[in-house]
Amino acid sequence: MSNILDELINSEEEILEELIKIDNQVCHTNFCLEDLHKKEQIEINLLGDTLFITEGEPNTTIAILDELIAQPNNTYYLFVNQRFLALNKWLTTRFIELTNIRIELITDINYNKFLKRNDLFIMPIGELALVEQVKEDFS
Amino acid sequence: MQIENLVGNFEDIFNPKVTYDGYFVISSYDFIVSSKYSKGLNLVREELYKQYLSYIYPNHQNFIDSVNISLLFYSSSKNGYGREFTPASDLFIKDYISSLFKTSLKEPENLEIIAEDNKNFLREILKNIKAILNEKMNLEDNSILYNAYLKTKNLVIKNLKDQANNSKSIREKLTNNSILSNEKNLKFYILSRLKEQATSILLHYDNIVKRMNKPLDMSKFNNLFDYDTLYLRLAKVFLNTSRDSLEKGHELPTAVLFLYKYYNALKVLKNYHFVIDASNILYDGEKRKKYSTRDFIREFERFILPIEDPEIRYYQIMEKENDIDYYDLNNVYKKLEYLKALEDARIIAAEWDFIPKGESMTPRSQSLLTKKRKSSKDLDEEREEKREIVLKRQQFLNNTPYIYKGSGKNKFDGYIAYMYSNGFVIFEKFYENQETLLPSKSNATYVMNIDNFVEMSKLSKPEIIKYIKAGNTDVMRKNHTSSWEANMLSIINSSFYSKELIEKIDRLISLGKIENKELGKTL
Repeated sequence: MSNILDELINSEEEILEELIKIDNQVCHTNFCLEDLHKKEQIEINLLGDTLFITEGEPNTTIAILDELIAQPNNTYYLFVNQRFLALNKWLTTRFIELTNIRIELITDINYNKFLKRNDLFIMPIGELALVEQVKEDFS
Repeated sequence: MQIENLVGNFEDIFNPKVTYDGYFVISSYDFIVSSKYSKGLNLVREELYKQYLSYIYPNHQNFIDSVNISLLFYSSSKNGYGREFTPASDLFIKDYISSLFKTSLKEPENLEIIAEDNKNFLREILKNIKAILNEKMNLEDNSILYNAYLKTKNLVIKNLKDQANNSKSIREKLTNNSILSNEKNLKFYILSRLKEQATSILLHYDNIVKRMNKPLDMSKFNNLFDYDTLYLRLAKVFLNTSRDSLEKGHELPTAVLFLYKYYNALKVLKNYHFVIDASNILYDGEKRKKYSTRDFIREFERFILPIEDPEIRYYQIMEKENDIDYYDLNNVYKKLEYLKALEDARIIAAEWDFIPKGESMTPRSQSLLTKKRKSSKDLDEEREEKREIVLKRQQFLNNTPYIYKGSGKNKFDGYIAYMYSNGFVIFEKFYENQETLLPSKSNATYVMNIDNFVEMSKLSKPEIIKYIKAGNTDVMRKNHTSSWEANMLSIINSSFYSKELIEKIDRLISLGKIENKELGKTL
């Protein structure tokens, strides 16, 4: 996946520059195209349909998508806390086009509407504060 | 000044600009006897017929002209835009059937079974009519039908003669069949007409109910009334229902508000005097023949005026505030907005000390918002580290362009809130409480708009958590991750992904859409 992604990033450089510009304006960040090539490693154990809760960091999204290829038959939801929506949309859209894996990007301001869903595995990924908060909310 | 200017027209009475809850119960008879006439026609009756009775039987001019339609219920509107008049359709049909067969149907045990009662009566009566028409039973053996025949007979003969005078074909038909000269034929004719109508009601019962549940079009009635009669008649009816409610220990009905309006108008128009025929007034046990405005004033002052009912007192207070026209809905909205703002401010003041940016703080707020800790002897290393983080976070928010900053009291002790000009409020429990100033274990900042903030201020923390866990999406929480400051700036600067921005993102992404899946195969 990573190699393909690198190819895609190179082929859609102009579009990505535009998307990054939008994200940086909204999120008050200084993300750049090169940052997309930075690799992040995560290990996740996929047991079924899953809601991933992240702070929206694009490299976290790439790492999650990389893991999904091993379990292509589940349905996945990705909450990104309204951060880097443009890049996250690009990443998930291209991923779906390449793999046909069912993944829905949640663009809401919070994940409250999922709090009563007991048909999904809830998987917070990221910093400790986020993980703790999510665990408390879904407990 | 005319009384109509003070009390208003039909819509002013029954759908005032300032609306209220509660039911009126009014007989359509009271409307009909308060009608203006034109070319011998009772205009209110004609309009009621047009809006409702015509659904039951299209040709009211001959056979059923003597039918008196019955009760109308007046209820508050469901949509919140005013009040509506809706007939009590099953009662209406019950009275219609009673009137048709010149009998009194028994009072229903409850309103839920009235439709079944009506239908059962019609089924039974149809069975008997059929037996009589087939000569298996004598008309005299069924008291209801025999009575209906006797009471309808003369009216039918008169109608048939009138028709015969006006139409050659009807004249020939009547002569050939000898309806008018042959008693048996006349019985057959009347029973056949009753059968037709009973069958029609039974067949279309549910449809009639459905159509009759349409609210009355009140605007059509505004110019049809003799208002002197209508006001006094309504006043008497409503006075009776109010007294009836009081005697039964119930609350006063909504209709009492009309009594106040009418009474106040009569007080203004000191020389105004009017009398009505008071026979057949709903709920009137006295059976008097005449009723005057003086009778009304006397009864009102005796039975209603002395009552210390909060709703009436409120109405009196409203009437007395001459500088504000409470019948103007815009004024009421303004007043409500003011009261809501006042109430909101009261709720916030109970839980928060707010100060505008740049103003000096109260000593209490000062201690919570800016004071350094008094002593570090009880703080372990972890707490000390946490305190530094909390102070840093607080410092960050202190440097943002907020317009008000507040410290929480009571159940919000230890919280600090920042209000921004874009309507967002950011708040967080920074400290356990203002006495110890120990850093709180909180790991999230709450963000919401000012309306939600007022609502949240009414709740305890467990209730807020419950509110969030119920799935409500209007309260944001931002965790203390490395992107916390950037998140706060996005909120403070209102930099969100708008609908337009998301559409732009979608357009950009669609430009590079992968059409073939060749790349995918190499995954």
